[in-house]
Amino acid sequence: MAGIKNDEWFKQDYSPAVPDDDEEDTYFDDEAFSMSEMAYDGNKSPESPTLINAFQLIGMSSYLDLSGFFEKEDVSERKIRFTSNHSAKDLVARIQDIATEMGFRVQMKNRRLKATREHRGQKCVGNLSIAAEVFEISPSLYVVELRKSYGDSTVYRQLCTKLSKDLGVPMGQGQGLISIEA
Amino acid sequence: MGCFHSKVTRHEDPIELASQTAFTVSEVEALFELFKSISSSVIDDGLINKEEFQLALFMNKKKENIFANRIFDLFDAKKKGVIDFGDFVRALNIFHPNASQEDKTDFAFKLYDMDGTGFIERNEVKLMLIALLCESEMKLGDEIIEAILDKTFLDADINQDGKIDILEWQNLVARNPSLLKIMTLPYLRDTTTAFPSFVFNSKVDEVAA
Repeated sequence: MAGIKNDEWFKQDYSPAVPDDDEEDTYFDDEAFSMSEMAYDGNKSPESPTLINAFQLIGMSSYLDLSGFFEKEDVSERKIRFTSNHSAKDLVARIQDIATEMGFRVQMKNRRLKATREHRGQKCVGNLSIAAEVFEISPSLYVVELRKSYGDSTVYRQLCTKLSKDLGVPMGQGQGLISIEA
Repeated sequence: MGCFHSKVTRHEDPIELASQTAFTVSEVEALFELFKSISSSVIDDGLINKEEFQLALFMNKKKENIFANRIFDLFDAKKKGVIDFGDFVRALNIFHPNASQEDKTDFAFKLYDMDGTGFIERNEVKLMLIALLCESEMKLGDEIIEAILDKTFLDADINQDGKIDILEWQNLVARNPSLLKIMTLPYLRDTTTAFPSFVFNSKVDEVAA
């Protein structure tokens, strides 16, 4: 097993399981999820975001997030949401670009994006892992939810600020980018 | 292990609580430390009242919120207006990663069935949506809100009676597991790695080792 893990073939694109992200696995069955979304609207490609269900939107409330019991920092320090008129494809691509520029390793899974920056052998400093997801509210309106999985708050804030700035071009109705926190 | 009898309140035995839940005895004891800090923040009586609950979760947010109220009500299983240690542990147990999907589904249903009629009505969902939008400072026109509601009820309300019953909810959740995302707190998987300053510190230790 160790032999396999050390092999270059294995190391390619391999990222060690991150315990904290188990929250994705406990509720997220990719296959079933993407299949059901596909069934709903056969025209949508697998890469496109889902049309939002009221409960998905409601579930974003910070008042339904009990992690406040376990975290010292305020919710806004680890989760933001913002709306954008950019297309989903655009949003995902831009987030990926910005994250990569900042030295993150980016993984995409359906409509979710995970970006990690880790300096091995260096405790804490500059390490950060975030998860981002794009939801469609209407064909011209999307919500991006960005969550810190673990890591450096300063880097997190830097990333959020950059994303907000770059993706926040107001278009049309003046909806544009609205920084959301509760 | 701390003393389990505060000045005013007798707390349930940690061994008993461990046997009822997914937590080990050590984890229950760790939860007791958390409980103590929350329950003494406003009135030191060994019980968590609404204000202490909100302070613990939302720090500076003390104003009333329908979701916070509802969660408090569900934690307050005995309907006494306060949460005791047993209530606290049993409620958090449902948020444990190992708790059953069924328990999580039921809890979420009760959460969204704000008035406890046994149905999640369309106007309740609308209210919750509006609350979320207010909180997030998002502005959506009424037409979009109605469109979201239409789509949601088209999907969920199988017998088309304008409300979602528990069976329809279970069905919806089975098809959309991410709706239960709010019902799991990964922190509870390893409760004894203390709080408040916690998870990522221990994680980095593992990586560096």
